[in-house]
Amino acid sequence: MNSTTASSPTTVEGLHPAKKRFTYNPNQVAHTLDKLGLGYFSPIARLIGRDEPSKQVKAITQNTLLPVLAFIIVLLAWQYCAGTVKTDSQKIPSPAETWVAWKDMLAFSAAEKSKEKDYYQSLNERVANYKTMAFQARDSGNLSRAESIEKRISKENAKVYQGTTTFFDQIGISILTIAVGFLIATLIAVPLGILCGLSPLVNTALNPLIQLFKPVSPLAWFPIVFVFTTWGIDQPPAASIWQRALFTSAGVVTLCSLWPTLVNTAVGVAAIDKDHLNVAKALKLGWFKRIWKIVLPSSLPLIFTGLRVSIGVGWMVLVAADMMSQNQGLGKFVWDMYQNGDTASTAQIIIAVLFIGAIGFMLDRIMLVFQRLVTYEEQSI
Amino acid sequence: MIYIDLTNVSKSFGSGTEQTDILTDINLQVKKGEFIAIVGYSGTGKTTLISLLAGLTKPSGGTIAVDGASVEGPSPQRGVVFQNYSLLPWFTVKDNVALSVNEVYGDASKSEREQRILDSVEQVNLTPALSKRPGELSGGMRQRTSVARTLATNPDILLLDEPLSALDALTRSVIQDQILEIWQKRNQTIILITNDVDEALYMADRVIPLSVGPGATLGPEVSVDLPRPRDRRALHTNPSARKMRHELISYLLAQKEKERLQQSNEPVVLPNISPIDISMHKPSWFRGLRPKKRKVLQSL
Repeated sequence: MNSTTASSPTTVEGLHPAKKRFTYNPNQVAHTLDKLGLGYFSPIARLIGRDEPSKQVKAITQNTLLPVLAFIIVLLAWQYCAGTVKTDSQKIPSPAETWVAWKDMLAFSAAEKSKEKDYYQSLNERVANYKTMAFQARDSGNLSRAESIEKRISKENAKVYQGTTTFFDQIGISILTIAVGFLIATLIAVPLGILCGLSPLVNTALNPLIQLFKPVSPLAWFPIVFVFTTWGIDQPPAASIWQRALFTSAGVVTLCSLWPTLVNTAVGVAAIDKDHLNVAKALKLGWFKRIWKIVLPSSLPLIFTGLRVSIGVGWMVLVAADMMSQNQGLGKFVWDMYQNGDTASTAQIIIAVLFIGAIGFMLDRIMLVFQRLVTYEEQSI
Repeated sequence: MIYIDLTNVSKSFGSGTEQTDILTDINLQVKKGEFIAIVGYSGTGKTTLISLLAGLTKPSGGTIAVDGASVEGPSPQRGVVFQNYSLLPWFTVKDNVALSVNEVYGDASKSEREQRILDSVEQVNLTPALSKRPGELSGGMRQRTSVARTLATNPDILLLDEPLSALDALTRSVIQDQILEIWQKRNQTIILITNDVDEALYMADRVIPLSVGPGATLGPEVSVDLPRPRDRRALHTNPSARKMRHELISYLLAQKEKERLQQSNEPVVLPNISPIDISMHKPSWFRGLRPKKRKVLQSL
């Protein structure tokens, strides 16, 4: 299944010439999968390696059957709601209707893409035409005409397709927004957390502020961030993806997601093993080296635990922030569909909910992998 | 020529009524190149003594001087091997050793530093484990890494804080011999803290017992004038070695007895607690059925 993780058997040096033979080590592959947070697949990997097949088959059926069963129950409940929950203007769409809505979304996005392609194609043709015309005019000595055509060319070149943003573009914008917000949050929270952990004075100074701001809702932060971004960021042209609204959303994400990282970093730094600090003292390590070689590595596992919580919070906050700031992300999509207010739009919202969940899950897994990579094996006596 | 000089050193923690005296009236003079062993029970302040010598903590009273100069803080000239290895688990053996080498020989060229690291790792026979992390090493290998890290900076004084107490007897004797070999090669001054009288007699020039606390102090010293290299088996048969062991053990046992008598004079105060009512862990509706018990619970 995965030949890169297979290892060559250990040979005693000098006894055998080292034979490079790749063997599939089910144990190792399974451990790698577990480490990547893909524990679901590790019984399959073991089964491929014939490692206690009956046990693996049982594990696979259990791991698969139970979630599928739960999924079916939810589907049935959904179907039931679709038949009962109705208002004057709309109802909860059934799974089948949602499936149709999904197909429509795909078709719409494909159509939008081909429209955009056509637009640029015809634009390029026009520009090419103008270019030959300008060339001919210049050839025949009609300079003023050539100049006016060239002006038109540059005008055409500046044109940008003004189509509707599709669902998938919006997913991209959402991910970009959280990346910006999360990056800023990390850059603030980690250094500040280290300071808090190192110095009880800084910690005493900041702790009330942290406790005060930690529980604030993103919706309350929004108007304040909005003032800041309106003041600090010039509205870029409409074609740019770096819209002001994106930074407003990112700012709200930052303000809500930096606290778990901050607190975890402070705890991680404060909880550093006294023996390790003694080593630093005995060697008379400088301030920077002490941070870089001792404090940071020892607190990395907790920092990443904080980052993992942070990215989860950030993703949750993002949808609300996008709704308010009208950033072209998933939140805006949900908001627009809500404004439409018909059953098909509600079906699209359900699709969006599933995507929001799936992307949040993916972000969490990515952070989990990082977290496991930096967690060293604890020294035990 | 006195090299390390401790005069009336004392150390206590806390202040006011909460003050605990750990060490009192420690007087110790060590000559250059001497191997001193200090034996005592655990919890009597041996590690505190090493911390004082290393400069990691300051004495509450008295003076500590090395080579005529008062000890004001840690220095790479006084290398410490910590009791619990204190290796950095995120670094490999090589990087752990490199940490101290780069700090002390920061001015030396890269290849020179590299050579120093490799040499000191080789000295404790750990070259095959160079790129392993502490988590992958056995206890003995970790301790040897710790020794290598300290030796790599070529300190004049080695402070060994029970370096071998967590190891099995076989590994212990191997590392004992390695330390002795290095000591004889480099002519360092060593202060070894241990709880093993045999180890002290096998390795040291002078063995000094530490009395039990609070306020522990150094007992009568025993000069070990056995020729080197010493033979472990001979330690058990040689009459003078047996006499020394007897002396040391008698002193330590007498200390233990003293501690026991001290404790038995004080009445044992049992904590004033009442048993936990397990109905506390039952659901609240269940607790509601037993109003009498609830009052007891609230007073807890």
